[in-house]
Amino acid sequence: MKSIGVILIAFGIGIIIAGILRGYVSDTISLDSYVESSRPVKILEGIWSPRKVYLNIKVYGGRADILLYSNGAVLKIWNNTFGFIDRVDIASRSYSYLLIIPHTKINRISHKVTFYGVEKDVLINGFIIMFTGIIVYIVSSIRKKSSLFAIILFILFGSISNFYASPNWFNPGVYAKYKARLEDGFILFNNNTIIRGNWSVYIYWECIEVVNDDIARLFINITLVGLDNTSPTFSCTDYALLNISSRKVFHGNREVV
Amino acid sequence: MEILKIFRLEYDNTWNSKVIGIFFSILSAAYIYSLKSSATILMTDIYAIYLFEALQGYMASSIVLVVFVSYIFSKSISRQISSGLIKTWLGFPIKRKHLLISKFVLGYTLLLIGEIMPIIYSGFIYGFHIGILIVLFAIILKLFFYTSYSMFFCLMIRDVLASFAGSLLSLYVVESFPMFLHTLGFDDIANIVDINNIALGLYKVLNAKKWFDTFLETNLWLTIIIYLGVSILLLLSSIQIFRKMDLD
Repeated sequence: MKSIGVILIAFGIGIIIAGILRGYVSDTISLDSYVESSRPVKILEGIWSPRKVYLNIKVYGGRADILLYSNGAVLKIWNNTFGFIDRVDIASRSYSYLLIIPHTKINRISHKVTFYGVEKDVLINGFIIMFTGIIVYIVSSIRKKSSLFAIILFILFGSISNFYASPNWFNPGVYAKYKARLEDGFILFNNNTIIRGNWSVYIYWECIEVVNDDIARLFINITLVGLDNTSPTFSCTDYALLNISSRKVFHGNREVV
Repeated sequence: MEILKIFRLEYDNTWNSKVIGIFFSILSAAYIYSLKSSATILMTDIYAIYLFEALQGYMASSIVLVVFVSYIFSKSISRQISSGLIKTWLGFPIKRKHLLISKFVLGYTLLLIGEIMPIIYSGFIYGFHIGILIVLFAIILKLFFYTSYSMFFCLMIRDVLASFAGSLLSLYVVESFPMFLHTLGFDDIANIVDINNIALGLYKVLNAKKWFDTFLETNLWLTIIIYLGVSILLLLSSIQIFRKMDLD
């Protein structure tokens, strides 16, 4: 097991060295292509390396909208242009291309594309393999298996809330409905008015969008139906932000739950 | 069980954490560094590009491999014979041929793992396809030849330094011999004796409609038979030499 750990560490270091050395070399692709067309043209189609890219694109004969597609999504748009010089950062190794949509008939496209900087995935993979090797080495060095069991339990208990609180099904469209009975309860309004009464409370929330890995926007509706003549029926609707991993809900920068 | 003990001893004596670490990191760095196309845009025919890249990769790693094969077998065989350590090993209830085979198997396996790991990693960059299997086949054969040759050489020359330098130089000569033949104009013979042609030849065969005819036309079978035959012959000769070797 120790040997496997050493092999993984060495292999990871090798990948990191290769990644750094590759990062020092900048590679340029330049081409002049004649495309007598008023229809959209795809250029530089292929799997792009996750590095920084210097783009120098020129369109001859007319203006065009130029879109950079990466991994099925538009990464950047240059509207109504004869060409541009720009830098973009490709996040992951994926199928990408430049789509040129001419406004009028164009006759020539020239491009000079330079890739520079380190490839993020190569470095990340190197570090992952190296750390896996370190863990394998440490685990195999532990003589008492009971302490190993304790470490695993400790790691599991430490991270179980993260596993539990970050469900991958939490996507737009997910909703929940709750019903509760509030008997002889109080409601405090912003203007310090207090109403006392009996209500059936209906709470509905729906995930509208997942802003990033941690934050989601929720649509919330709370309806209180009065159960007697003294208890008014009213409803309120608003949006709130939910931290998916900690499950804290924020409304207007204030933590509410 | 005795074989496992021998593997353990061989690993501790010849291979150790330092050697393994240096070997794996240099080899993987050399291989992955040489896969240059993936640093920009991989165009449409990834299969063909990968093969050419992988060829460059294993050409680059060949020099590292030659150095390590020579070092490992000079340390495992020449040094242990010259220092008399091998006699202690024979104190185990194990036959001489089994001892030599276990040394060969461990050396070959670890060297092969060292070569396979960057190839598998390159699959994550280029995608997994038959090109990887072609390169793997070529490397398995090439390494089999290297190791059996180096073991034979180290058994013949028992001096540690001489066996290391001799094995290194002679393997370098084997590597550059096809190029020498090309310069002399013997292109057909050069193509047959060039072990690095196997990967490209297999690519050509697999892309052909009548693949068996192409396999025969390219003389690829001849290259495979030559290297496989020579390697097995060297391995058997090494076993015979070691069995009858006077270790006193």
